[in-house]
Amino acid sequence: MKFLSLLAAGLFRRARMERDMADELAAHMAHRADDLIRAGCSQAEAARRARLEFGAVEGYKESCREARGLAWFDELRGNLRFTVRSLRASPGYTLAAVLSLAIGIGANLCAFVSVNSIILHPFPFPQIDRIMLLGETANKIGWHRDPVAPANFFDWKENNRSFAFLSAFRPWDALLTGTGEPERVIAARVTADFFGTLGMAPAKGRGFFERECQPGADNVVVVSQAFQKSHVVSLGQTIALDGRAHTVIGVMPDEFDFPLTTEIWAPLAYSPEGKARRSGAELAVVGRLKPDATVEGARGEMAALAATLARRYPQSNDGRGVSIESIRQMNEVTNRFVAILLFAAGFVLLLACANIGNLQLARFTARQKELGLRAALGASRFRLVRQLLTESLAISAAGGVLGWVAGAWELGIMKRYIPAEVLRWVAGLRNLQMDGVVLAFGIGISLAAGIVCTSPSIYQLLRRRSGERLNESLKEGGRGAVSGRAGNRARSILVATEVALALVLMVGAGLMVRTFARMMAANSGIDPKGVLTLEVTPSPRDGIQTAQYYQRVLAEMNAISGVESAAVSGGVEAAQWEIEGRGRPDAGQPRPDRSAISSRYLQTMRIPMVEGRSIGEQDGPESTRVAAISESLAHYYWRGSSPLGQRIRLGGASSPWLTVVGICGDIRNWFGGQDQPMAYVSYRQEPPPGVRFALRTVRDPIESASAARLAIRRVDANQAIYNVKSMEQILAEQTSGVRSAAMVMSIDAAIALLLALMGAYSVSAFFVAQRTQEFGVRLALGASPRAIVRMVLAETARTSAVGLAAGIAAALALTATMSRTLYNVVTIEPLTFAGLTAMLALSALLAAYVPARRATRVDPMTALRSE
Amino acid sequence: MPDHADLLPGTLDMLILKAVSLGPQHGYGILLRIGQISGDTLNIEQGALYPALYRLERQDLLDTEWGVSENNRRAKFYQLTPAGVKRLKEETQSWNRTAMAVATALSARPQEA
Repeated sequence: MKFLSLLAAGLFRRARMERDMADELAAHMAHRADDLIRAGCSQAEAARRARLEFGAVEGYKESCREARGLAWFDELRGNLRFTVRSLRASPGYTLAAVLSLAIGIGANLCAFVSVNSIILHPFPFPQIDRIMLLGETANKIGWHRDPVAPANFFDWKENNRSFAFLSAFRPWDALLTGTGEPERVIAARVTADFFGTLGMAPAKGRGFFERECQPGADNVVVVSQAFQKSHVVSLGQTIALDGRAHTVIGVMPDEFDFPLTTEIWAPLAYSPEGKARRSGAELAVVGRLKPDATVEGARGEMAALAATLARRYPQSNDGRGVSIESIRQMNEVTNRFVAILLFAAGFVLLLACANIGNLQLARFTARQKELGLRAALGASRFRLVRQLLTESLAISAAGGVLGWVAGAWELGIMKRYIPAEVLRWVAGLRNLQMDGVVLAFGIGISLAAGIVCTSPSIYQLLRRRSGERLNESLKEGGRGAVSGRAGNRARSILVATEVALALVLMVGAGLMVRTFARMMAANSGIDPKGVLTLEVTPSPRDGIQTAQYYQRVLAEMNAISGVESAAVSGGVEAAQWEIEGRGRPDAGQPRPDRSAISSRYLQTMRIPMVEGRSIGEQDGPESTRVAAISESLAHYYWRGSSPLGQRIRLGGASSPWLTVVGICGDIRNWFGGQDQPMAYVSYRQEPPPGVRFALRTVRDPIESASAARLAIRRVDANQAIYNVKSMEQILAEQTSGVRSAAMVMSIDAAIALLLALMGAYSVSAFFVAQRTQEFGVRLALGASPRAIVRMVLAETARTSAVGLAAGIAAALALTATMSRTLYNVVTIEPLTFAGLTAMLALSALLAAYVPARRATRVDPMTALRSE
Repeated sequence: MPDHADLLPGTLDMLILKAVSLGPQHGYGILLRIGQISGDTLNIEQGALYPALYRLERQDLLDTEWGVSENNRRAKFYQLTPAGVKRLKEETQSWNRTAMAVATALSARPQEA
């Protein structure tokens, strides 16, 4: 505000003040002259003496302006006017500088948009840093974020003092009927204070009452705004979920999306027995810390609470702890990718700055005479610094504005390439936009870039004795002393930095690309080509009926023409497992995931059998319980011997023993490519509540989608079907994050390479231009053109070698960090490393070669006369 | 001119305030008055007065008004604001204390230990 009023004063009152000041000083001299005349001077003599006695009028006026606080305004105006003039005089430099900054700033804005919405504001909740996710830990197996048993949750809720709110929720796959096709809706059962915990309230209607969290009273729902729009429901209307009528009592605002992709919220209702259950952990817990509570304090308190519960209920709670993490941590892996991309973008901007710094240094050297003249006319060194800074900031401001446009454009492209499914499942991703925070960030980095760009020049200016040098430059023929060794060293350091940064970025991009390539090429253990998948969660029936239902659907599917084989699989995570006679394995030892499959599943997925047989249709509820395990599991626990005929147990003491009948190939984790140990059981012996049907087709799998839907509907017309996709599509979605990261980093690396080459070129060109005369002499004395080229290239080679050495060290550190942060196993091979280094070195030499050639064409006579 | 002293830093402001406290005056008049009250012993370059005046005006210690001088010329007159009056009092006291202390110190004679 003060600044603005000062500016207004400057603009509107400045003219009057100038006039006043001139009048006042004139009046002073007139009064003095009057006195002198009275003392006997002639009129002319009096006027002359009065002026003489007064002193340097213009100097005092300047001091007066300064005293009045308007000097900065005058100077700024002068600096700006000068800046415009001087930039207009060198459009090439201006264009190059503005464009490279625009690219750098645009990349940073785009990366920061992701940071802003994914890391900083994944959810629109007020005071999001107070919101914590809680889970149970199992100390024995080192497991985090286990769901929580109802009785434990209610004990936490009652006995803690750290949380203002503590609420629980659990996912609910609801079947919506009566609105056209039956549909599966992603819903959640939540406690009454769930919305309050998150600091949100329905936009229309109300949330839940405590009394509605009772069996029988829980037939009310709050719906998402998207659901309300797509299904045209209004408050008070009833909808049928899982065959029961629920009244719509509220609509959440559009930005509310928690748990992610939820469309309907209903009360979490427990009977007294259900409430007292300490087994069957099923709840996710979210809490809001009290204003005076800290995360550490809460962790301590909850740990003590868990210990008390473990003592009181050793059977269920022994070894159970509590994990507390900020809700922001939910996106952990994505967050790391996003942070890495911001770092990459930061490197690009640094490179652009180094480049512009270089160009400015060259300009600075060329302007020695002008600066020397201004210094001689009384401009202080700091005044010159301010002039340089004004010029640099003008460029960075222009770069910032263009960068904003570039960033918005880049963001638009990026958004178009995010698959819809990914958009739904990464919190904050759908809110990517350039908002005020991003604007502030943009202004900040533009200013910083402007200052960084000009700092080498300012350093040169402020170096000791540079004042003398400025004077020297007036005497010399335009080649200032600063253009000597010191200036060259500064430029070489900048180019070395650029080369180092470029190498780091190229290696980083190489890592991403290779990670992605490995993911795509990785033998995931299955053959995704030609496989169609559909998911269903049938309405609850008893186990045998469910199995029969799957069986009938499979029969229908196998009859579809073009389908080679159809199978069903349903995964249930097994929290515990053991081999008969060996006791429970230690934490850290491989633990299989359990999947219930039908007989043709392995065949459909093209997972090979290694030994024994697969699960068969004969493995029904009456026959012996069987399992097939994957090769890596068998190898780890049985080494030389065969597991066939041995018995394993998946789950706790109440789970049945399963006889191992076969060993099959491994499937691999799509992200890291590690083997995922598996235990397959029969879907008829352990029918899963929800399954994925997989059909191997001879044609494009999507063509069979409608026939497959029909097959399911023929068995149960009310069955909701979801996630109808080809296997390849699923893989593409899973890898899309890495793919876009690889793409963005490759672009960054390409820009970096380009900028570094520009730097190498400009420095080499400057080097040549500076020594034209010397080259002329050398040529005249008989040096061969090749020797000259060698000289110029040697200079570049020296600089690049330093940069490459630093770059290799940094890139090695980066590789280690990235491998660790991204949990992937890709390390860059020495060969790739060497290849990238060689490529960068060669390109730098090539960039230097062009000016070097020019040096050999110097005409000795012209060069000698050029002074 | 052995009996002429250079101005100590910071004292010009004080002298201006003192001069103006004797009645509203324009720049040249202030200069003459300082000469008068100091017995013409201080060297002040005439132009140097104005940056000081502008500074004091900006600090709201002085008020200005255009008027007509005794020579019948248009001139800008300065007068003390209440803040200016207060400042003059403080500066005077502080100056007297310092001057006394310095004078005492300089007049000290070696003592026998």
